[in-house]
Amino acid sequence: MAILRYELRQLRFYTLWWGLASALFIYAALPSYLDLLNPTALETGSLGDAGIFSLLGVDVDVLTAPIGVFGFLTSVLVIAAGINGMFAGLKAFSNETIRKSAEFIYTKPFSRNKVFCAKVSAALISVFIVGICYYTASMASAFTNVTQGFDFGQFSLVALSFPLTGLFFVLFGALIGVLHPKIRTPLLLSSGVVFLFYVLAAFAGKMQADAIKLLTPFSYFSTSSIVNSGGYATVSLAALIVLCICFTAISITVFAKKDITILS
Amino acid sequence: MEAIIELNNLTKSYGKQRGIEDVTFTVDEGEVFGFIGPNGAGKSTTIRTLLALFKPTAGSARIFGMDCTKQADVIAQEVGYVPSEAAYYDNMKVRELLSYTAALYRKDCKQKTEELCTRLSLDPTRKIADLSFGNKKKVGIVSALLHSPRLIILDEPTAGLDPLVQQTFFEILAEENARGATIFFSSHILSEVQKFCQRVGILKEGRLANIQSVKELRSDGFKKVSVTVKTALPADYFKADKVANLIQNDTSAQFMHKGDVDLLFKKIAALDVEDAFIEEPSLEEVFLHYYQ
Repeated sequence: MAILRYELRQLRFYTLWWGLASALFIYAALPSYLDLLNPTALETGSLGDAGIFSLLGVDVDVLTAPIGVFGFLTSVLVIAAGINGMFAGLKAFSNETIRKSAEFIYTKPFSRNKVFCAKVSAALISVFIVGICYYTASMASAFTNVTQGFDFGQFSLVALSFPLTGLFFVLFGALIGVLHPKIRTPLLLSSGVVFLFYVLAAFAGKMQADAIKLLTPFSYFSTSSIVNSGGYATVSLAALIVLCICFTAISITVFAKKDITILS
Repeated sequence: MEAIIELNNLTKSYGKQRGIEDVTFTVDEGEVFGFIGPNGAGKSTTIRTLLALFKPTAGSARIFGMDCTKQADVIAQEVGYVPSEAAYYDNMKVRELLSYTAALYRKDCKQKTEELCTRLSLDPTRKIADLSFGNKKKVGIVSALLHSPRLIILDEPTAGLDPLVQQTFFEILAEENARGATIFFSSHILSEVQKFCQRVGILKEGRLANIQSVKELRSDGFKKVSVTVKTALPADYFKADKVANLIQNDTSAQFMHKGDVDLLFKKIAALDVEDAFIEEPSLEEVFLHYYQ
């Protein structure tokens, strides 16, 4: 518990600002985009090529509905969730090496597994607090601004894609942090990697490459799929679970066995 | 007496780089054991392997009879460690770090923390980022001792400490030892090992060169001899198999002598002596012997 509490304190600042920023953004952006993305705009072609929206997991048929607008906004904002998650997961391990505090923490009476669990739990808690902020602000904005066609369940599923993307990247970031603890710029690296995953999802969408779609969480939570089937695609959910388990298993195994990197 | 540390052919290599090789020794309960060697000899590698920061390539290490790798977390509860490079969480204050350390050991250490801070003149209200290297070292010392461990492992602990604080530090260590704590003291400053330790392990290029008591190390070794005479010394007068580092001029000679002291005295007595010194060499001088 002591390590978990300490790690949460370290993430306090980031959790607060990511949570506030994402909540304020969705609360303010949803009404604006509800006005912008209306059927008339789509018919007159003022939004440009509607194909770009389908690459983000929102088909044209649902784009002008409130859930489509929310899905589109969420599909962009999950980049922030991903960066926040990967940063928290990566920083938890790289910071001990970069700050040269590894000898302090890893010689205390906690097994490597316990240290790993405490660090990853703190990153996950941070990501879920940010997710709760996003979810709450989304629902508050939707309740206020969506007068027709509001489906609480569908909105919730779309909003939950925000922390679930964060979850994926926390575990991926932890894996990178365990394998390469000498990373000095975790935020920069996280931004780059998350953007690559995002581009990969767009590429997979364009090429209809279903196998590649399974590798990136930005393909998992399609708004169209939520609207059409009432939930996340089973294959996507399975891919998320399998990859998260793999990241965790590899991280724990490597972390338990490898030498601690100590910079002199 | 129970062995607190047992190393059995402990080997740690980093690919092609040398770490330590076949290091074997034991440290008994209540002992103050010195571990000396120049920089890069493998002292820190040995300690980090003992503390399970590194996994051994071969051999085994045990502390309190437990395997250092498999039961590292259990062992750590009773171990205090001062690393050679004292670096902590810069955004914390000293008091916060020490409270965090106590929480990690799940012990109430307030009284001892305050006592150690006072004795070492460490201000607990200061931010760690603002501390000098010496003060960070003090944080490391307090952090290692606050839970009254059974085994104290020190890696170059006096680096950065001024002489007065060093004296206080050695007093604290002596008290910890009197309480029953075993001390493993790694250093390349030999005079402090000589002053403080009972036995010394000498590490040379990753291998244990010798292990002796400080007393044995001195008595088995060379004597440092300085002779000044009134008349000119015959050329190579002191040159012999058991003499090393001979420096001789017209009326004086300095050398290291090992062997029969009686013969040496007779040779000196044959001269018209003005002054003579026969001293125990410092551990530095003894130590050089292992590196020649």
